[in-house]
Amino acid sequence: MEQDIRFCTTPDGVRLAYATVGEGPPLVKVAHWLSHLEYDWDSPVWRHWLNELSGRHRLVRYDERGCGLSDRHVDDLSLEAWVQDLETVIDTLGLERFPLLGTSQGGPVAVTYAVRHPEKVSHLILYGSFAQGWAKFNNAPHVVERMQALLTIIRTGWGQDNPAFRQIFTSWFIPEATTEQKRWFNDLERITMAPETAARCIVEFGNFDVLDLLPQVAVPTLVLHARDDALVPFGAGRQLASTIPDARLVSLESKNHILLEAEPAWPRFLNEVRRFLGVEPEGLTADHWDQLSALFKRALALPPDERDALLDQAHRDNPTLRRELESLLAADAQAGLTEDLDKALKASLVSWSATATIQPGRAISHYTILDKLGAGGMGVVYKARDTDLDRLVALKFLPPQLNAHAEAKQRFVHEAKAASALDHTNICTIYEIGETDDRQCFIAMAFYDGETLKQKIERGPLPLGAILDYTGQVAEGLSRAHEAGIVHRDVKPANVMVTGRGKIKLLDFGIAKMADVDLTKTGSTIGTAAYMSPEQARGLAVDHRSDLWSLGVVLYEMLTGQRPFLGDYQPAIVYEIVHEEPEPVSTLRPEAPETLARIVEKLLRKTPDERYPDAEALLADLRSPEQMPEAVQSPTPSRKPAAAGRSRVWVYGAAALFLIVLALVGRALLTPGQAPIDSIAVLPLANFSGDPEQAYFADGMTEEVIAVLGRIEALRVISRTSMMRYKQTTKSLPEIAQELGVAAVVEGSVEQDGDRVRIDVRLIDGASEERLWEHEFEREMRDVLALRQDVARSIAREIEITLSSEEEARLADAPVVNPEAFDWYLKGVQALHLRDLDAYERAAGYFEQSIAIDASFAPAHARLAFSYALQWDLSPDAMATAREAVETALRLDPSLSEAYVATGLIQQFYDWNWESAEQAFRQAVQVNPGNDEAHHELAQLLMRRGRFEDAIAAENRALFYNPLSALYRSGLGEIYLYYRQYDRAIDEINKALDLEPDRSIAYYWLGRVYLHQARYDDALAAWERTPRGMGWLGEIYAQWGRREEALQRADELMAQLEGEDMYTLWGLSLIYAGLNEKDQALDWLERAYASPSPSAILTYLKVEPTLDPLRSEPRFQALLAKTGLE
Amino acid sequence: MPDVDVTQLLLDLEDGRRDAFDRLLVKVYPALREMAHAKLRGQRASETLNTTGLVHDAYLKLVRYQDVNWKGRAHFFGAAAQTMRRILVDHARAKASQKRSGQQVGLTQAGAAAAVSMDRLIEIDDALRRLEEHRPRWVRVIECRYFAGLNIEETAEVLGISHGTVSNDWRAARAWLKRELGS
Repeated sequence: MEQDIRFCTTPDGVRLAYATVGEGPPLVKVAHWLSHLEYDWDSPVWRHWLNELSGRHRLVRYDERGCGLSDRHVDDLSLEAWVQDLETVIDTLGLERFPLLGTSQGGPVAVTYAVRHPEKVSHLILYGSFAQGWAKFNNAPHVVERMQALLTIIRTGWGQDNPAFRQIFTSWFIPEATTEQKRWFNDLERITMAPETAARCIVEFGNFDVLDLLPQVAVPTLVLHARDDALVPFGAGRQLASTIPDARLVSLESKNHILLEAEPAWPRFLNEVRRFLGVEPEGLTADHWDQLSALFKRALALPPDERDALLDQAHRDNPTLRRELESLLAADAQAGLTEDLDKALKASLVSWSATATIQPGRAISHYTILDKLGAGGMGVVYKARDTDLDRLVALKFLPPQLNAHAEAKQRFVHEAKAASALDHTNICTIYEIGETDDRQCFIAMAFYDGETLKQKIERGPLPLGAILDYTGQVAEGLSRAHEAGIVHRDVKPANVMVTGRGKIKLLDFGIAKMADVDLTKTGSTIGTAAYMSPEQARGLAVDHRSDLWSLGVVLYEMLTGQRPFLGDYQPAIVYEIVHEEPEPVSTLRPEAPETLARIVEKLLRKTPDERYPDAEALLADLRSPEQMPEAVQSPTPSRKPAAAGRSRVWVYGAAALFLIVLALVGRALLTPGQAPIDSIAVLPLANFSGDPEQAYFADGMTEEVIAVLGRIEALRVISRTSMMRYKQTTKSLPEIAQELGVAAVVEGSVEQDGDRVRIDVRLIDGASEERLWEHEFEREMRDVLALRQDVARSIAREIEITLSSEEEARLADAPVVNPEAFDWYLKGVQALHLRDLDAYERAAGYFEQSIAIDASFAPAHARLAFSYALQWDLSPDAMATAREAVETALRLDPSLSEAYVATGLIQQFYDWNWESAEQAFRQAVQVNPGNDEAHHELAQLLMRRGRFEDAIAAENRALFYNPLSALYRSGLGEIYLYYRQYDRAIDEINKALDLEPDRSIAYYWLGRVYLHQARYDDALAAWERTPRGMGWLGEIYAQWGRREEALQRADELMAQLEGEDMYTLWGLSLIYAGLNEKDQALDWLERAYASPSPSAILTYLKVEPTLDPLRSEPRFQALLAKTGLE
Repeated sequence: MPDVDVTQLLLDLEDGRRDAFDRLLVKVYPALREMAHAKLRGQRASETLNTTGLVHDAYLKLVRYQDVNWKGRAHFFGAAAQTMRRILVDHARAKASQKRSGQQVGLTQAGAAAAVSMDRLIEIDDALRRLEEHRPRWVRVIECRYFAGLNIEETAEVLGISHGTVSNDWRAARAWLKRELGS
């Protein structure tokens, strides 16, 4: 588009330049200070304004007098002169009616014009404008002073080549502009106006005042203002809008006096202006949107090649509509993109998910990934094979956030290269620094078979000989690096590898250089902070002596088994590092030679100057004769490197020999005392598969580990249901341990990857949160049961629990299982835990699937029977299946606790065989003392038999293993209910409701308690909260003496009676018993007994208080006898 | 502790008082945000932010649900879906501005991978704002599905429209989003 620039002359003889551009009805923009018709055109500051305003209008603009292409030297700069200029331009063009836009100083001009010529102005738009100039609007001394200063700047500085003065001005106008925009504006100021004229303008503007005119504005007005406009305050815009009748104010989120193209306020401005002018925003109308969604739906119903007709129809109405529809259909067809989008969304929702693991077998450069070795704040390390040289390597990938940080990456590469030049036997060899195709940075380094000092220390303090040896070797490595001017910066046990032959290799040189970029913040493991020197922690410059401090921390930890600075979060640790002295080594490890303790002290001096000047000095002290008993005095260390190496080995060896003997003798006394671990909680293992659908597998493995551990007599293991509450807990480990009353907590993760399963577990001290032990287990899927036993056995060994020989054997022996069958089994177990009737049926289905694949897997049979037995009213066919499943399970594995529980349930509910049922539950408890379900079922059986004290003990046992179970808690309440200790019953049931507030069945029990306390109102209220209670309200009315209502409820029940549903029959008998109509009550009870599936509910016969009036009746006695409950 | 006000607002909504919905949003936002942030703080690197679980937890925490029927529940989830979007987007924007100002994003190792999708999240939010002007119902569907993790049936219940309508809106809205964000 081109603009047409012409000139006109005002009545006072000033030549004005004006421009028109664009097609359509006219839109007039009043001139403002610092314009330039030609220079503004296509400029980075005004381009978008001119383009947009001329899009649907013929835009008219002009340079004000003294400015741009208009006459530069003019006498009159008053408001009146400005208004005259506007009138001249409009008259020259012969415009009749148009919207008028006044920006900044153009505003008062536009207002004046609109008041004088209301017939010409269709809309008035005022942006960033004012009614009163600065001298009038706010003549506070500081404003006036500031303006005076500005005038001086303009007069003296504006004409200079140096843009510094103009830059001040520009920053006021457009503080958030880009450099390019600011530079352009700096130039504009010089090009468009003489400094003196500019200064005069400012003085004149200050005196503009159209406040009195505002109420006379009779055209529709829109006022827009940037909220943080530094040049014309927002208040000025508000004044305009509030004084002009019916004006609307739009506040824009911006700091710029001229809205810039890239800021969000700009499209907002345009939309508001367009709406005000009645121009539809680009795109579709509301009608079109309705059509569009209807057409889209219709198009989807058609095969793609038949959609053209539909598109043509859309085209007839509106080409934009057709374009929209086409593009929507095209987008819909791009399936891949949907998935990407879903993934992007999911990923952002779950933006804290773990770094993706590179799958084994993948080739990266000339390496083949074999296995993941570990991950930490510094990235992920894989074991890999170098296919060119056929050797094993360790590949370390930079953490992704560093990869994204170009500068960090560059520095990292630089440092790593320097470190790779270090050739020393105690420094890990770096082969290559490379980049993958997707620009992930990695280091290839030597792979060492061994473990890190961290792993060694986690098992407790190290022998003195080893400590001396390792410290010496680390110091040697550091010494070499320091000579080359390289500071490690992250010396810590995890970075010290000890090979199988006892050789130290220092890892990760220079990587910590990134620390000041972000690793100390993001990788913020306590581990890393704990080894920082005070100067490092305080963010000061570090030199090689910082590494010596860190080595001191490592040495301290090797000696005592604990870190010198023990804060439990990073700021606490940092505080201690900077301000506090650690506990002396001598109190924690009294047998450590005093000289060694002194070395630690010297390494851990807060001021670098007080530490060893360098690693060599430390080595000299380590080698000093005082470190050893007199018998093995060493020769003076030679300065020749080769000889020095040999002699040192000998020295360390001799010292070590002595110290090992010492250590062995003193061991029992020296190991810090620790209470034995006799109770443990296994936190839900995290699902590392990356697939939330796999959660059941991690949960299942958690349960398997709990189950195996639970069978150890001497150990109390918290059962699964209590633990599952901690699945997404924010509680700390000590809080959890305290809640459950356990000494230690196990946490970890499960990763299923093809046919491999990996479990990573950590044993953590419940009180101190100290990591006692950590291990990774891996097996094939078919050996998943053995894997579970590996874990349990290792934990048992670690906590030094005493195992009976039988337990040993059981832990060692694990059947092989078909992975698919096991998978179905775990799904079933998961469903079983939902504890509702639908879920039991679903669970049974899963177990049947499992059995269909592998019929030899005993637990699936046991659980199948269990899920049937819990369904209470079973068909005879289902019963037969359940019995068969139990038998099969016990034949396959006579030590299966769950199978005994299922047996007990069947015998109790379907055979009325109370003796065998009790035996079965006791057997279940015997083979697995930690089987909380068995304790619970035993308790419930004892309760029904009226042995309340035993029942309470058994239920408490269940709660001992599963302290947070609402089921057991309300079970205990139930026992107290039938024991007729109503207050205690209410206590326990309320506790259950605290644990699980939506446990509606608990309200049923609560209602029963109230009923027997004759608190009928409360009973009604409680039962109204439970679906089951609702049908039973008749029982309450009966005992309340509201006979009519009771009978009415009884009628309703009878009307609903389907088949011989025993709940209904039982409910009817309770109503009539309450009404003291004994024969009727007994009729219903006998009918219930005769129903095809009598089962569970009648088991309350002996204990139900409502039935008390019947107890002396012979017919009742006979029923008791028949059910084995007399 | 159940918040009486939230429950009362749900009851008001059932009585047809639409203005209660805005007040509901005001109530739900701080509670849900606090819960989300607590989750994020306590989260281990391996875990994911389970928005569905969070919304359900919030429901249990804020509502005396035995007093509220399915419609009230639907209102709550509708409010929670919108709220969840705001929380996540605010979080992403905060992170993005930290990044711009050169500060580091205080996340775990996974942070950078996530940062990419956080930018994406902001783009999505911007696009949804544009869509809101024309098809607010599409936006509600997207919110329920993505931000509260509801399925088609639940979304239908929450928005009080048929399954078929939800499915159509869902597909159309995603096509629109794809087009807006594609390339």
